[in-house]
Amino acid sequence: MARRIRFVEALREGMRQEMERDPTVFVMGEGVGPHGSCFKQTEGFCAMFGEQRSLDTPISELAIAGTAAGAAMLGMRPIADLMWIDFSMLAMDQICNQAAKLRYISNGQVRVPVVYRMTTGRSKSNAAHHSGSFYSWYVNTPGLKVVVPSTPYDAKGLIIAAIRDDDPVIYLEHKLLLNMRGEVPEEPYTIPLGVAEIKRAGEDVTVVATGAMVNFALKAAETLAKEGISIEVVDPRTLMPYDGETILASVRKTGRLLVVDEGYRYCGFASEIVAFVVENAMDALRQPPRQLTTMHTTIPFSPPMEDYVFPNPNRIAAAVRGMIQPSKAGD
Amino acid sequence: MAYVVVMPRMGQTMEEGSVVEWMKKEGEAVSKGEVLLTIQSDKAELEVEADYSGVLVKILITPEDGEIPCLDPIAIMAESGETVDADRVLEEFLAKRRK
Amino acid sequence: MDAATQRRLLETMLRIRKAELQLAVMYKNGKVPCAAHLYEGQEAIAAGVCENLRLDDCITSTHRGHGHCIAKGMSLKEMMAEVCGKKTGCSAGKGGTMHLFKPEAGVMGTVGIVGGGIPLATGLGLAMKMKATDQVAVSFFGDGAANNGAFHESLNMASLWKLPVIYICENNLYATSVAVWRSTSVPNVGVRGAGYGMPGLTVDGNRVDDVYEAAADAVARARAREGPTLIECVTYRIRGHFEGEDAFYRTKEEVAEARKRDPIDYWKARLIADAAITEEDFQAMSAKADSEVAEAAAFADASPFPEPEDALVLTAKEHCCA
Repeated sequence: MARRIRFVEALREGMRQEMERDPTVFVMGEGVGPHGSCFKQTEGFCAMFGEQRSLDTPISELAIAGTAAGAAMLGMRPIADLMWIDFSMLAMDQICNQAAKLRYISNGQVRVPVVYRMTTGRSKSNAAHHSGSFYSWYVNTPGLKVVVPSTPYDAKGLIIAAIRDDDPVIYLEHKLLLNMRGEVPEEPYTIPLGVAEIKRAGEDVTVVATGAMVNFALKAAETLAKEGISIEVVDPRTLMPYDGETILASVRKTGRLLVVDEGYRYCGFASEIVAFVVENAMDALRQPPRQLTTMHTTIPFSPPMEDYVFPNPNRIAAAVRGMIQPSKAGD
Repeated sequence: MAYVVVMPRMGQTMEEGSVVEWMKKEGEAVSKGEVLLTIQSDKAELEVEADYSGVLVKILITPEDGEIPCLDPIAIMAESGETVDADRVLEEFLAKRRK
Repeated sequence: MDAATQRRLLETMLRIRKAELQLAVMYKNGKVPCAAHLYEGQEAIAAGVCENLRLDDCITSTHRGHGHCIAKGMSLKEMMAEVCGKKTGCSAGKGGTMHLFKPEAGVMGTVGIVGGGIPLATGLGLAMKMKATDQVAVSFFGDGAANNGAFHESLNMASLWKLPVIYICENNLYATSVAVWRSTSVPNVGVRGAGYGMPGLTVDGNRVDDVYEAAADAVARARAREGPTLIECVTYRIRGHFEGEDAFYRTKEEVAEARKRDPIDYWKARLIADAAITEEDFQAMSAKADSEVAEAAAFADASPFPEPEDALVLTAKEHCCA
């Protein structure tokens, strides 16, 4: 039986293998050293690589991001852990004005091979400052690549690809996926950036889903299959640059599009995919595309309210039903 | 060598300017850095220094001409002792700009 | 300081002064597409610090960065062409005056965000330490940036990790239109070094020998991997924040007073008094700088603009919607 490990273990293995292979790769961030990182992403690294390559930092997000970019300009390959995407806002000048732009404004004289890792998405009652999914801001910034793995296999392949990429990559770890188990090869491997994966083939509706929404869509797929509805779940894996070809091919097959993304809809990733498909495959669409996103509100603390504002498998299934049988939308 | 003095663009938002007062007369010697004239920009009255030393050969724009676009010619300067066909210098400048 | 160094300092300051005055003329005549932030009056700082640096040492700088680039060894031609937006500029017109790069000369970015270059320089220092080279990094910034969070975070980190970074605060007494005593609770920036456990000092930024000596100590300290230093160099911004600014917030008299402390006049007088140079030597140096600057300006003027499509040469082709 193939080895099944957790998402966080796959991520850790990918980083470890790259750090073993390439001495310029190192991790920096709050608690990445002896503590092994907030969710144990770097457990054991201090003993293996020493404190300089598993570098604890002060709580200085801007300087963490900027120092990583500066070190990258001189040939290091830093993995800067900003912990939560919400905290990364404190680092945005260095990520979006500096790291993202240095290659361009220098006309390619410098490269910035940095990975900015951050957790994303809801967890349990993490509330207003610890539940964000703001990656559409990064998708919207020229010069940044953005990846969001949805399985342990993707987690390892994408982190290795991100580390080896010569441009800044935002690597998003969904908190609900960290303990998810899946088959992961022991040897290092990469998943090319910009390549989507069809996580489940189907005929009736293309469901493009990101991060933890992929699993929700797959759960909804099981439920819908029993009702005779077949959805195709497309996981972009890379949000920038996204694999438009795979998405279009799927929509040309099914004629229907639902995008499920945990970011807000306004100028969000889901809106981008809808616009892209409408622009490029209008003739293939049997009906208007739909998006299912987090409701446009600050995330509340109390569980019933928190659950209410986020997408979930039931809502995905209901949205699909509504597209197939408008009179039987349910929910 | 003779050159054309233009209405300087003194600031990113300045599209036009007007001559307030010429500090030198035609035929007068000017040193580099001396105030040649004052202009009115969109924001303020500003002193304009001479970029090079020489003689103010011909004044093309006066306060009566009102606002003119930035980078349009306002005078001809030359090295002292240089004989200059002011009209030709202006014509060459405008021809080059039209290209 | 030996005679050759004394001369080089004067030559560097002259080159910077002439280049900036030439760019002022070019700006007025519409040759510089954007706002120009010129360095006149502050030349002693760039010259005095960079004279202590090797080609493989690195600097980051600011929107007012021409002086640092020239002092560090970027070619005048490439710099002026870039400032004019020409294809022959150091970044082929993509960066412009506020984003100048020349890694071969150790110029790792002039940065258009106040304080933006400070964490980058800290990161350069981190890489130098991790790679175990003996390079050093210098972060040039102003009194305005000293009040920015990036300053605080970077200096704390650099001190914690003993990074080989020299932080040069050019206190020219104005952050855009706001005088330092109106924006800064403790207008002496040098004292902040103590708060980060690093040497922090204040020198007269218009005396190139003072700047040179202070920087020499800091560079030696950094090269020996003893840690970072903060040096505040007090100077004066002779021109407006940008060319064409109506600097209503300060008086003409104040500027005229400041001109009496011109760093080039000071150093010229010192060298003549020490019989290190003669007036003829100075005139020759001045003429040489004039000629270099004129050549560079002519080069910039004659150079073509980039093709419009060049805007996208570095944009990923794989973007499906590009």
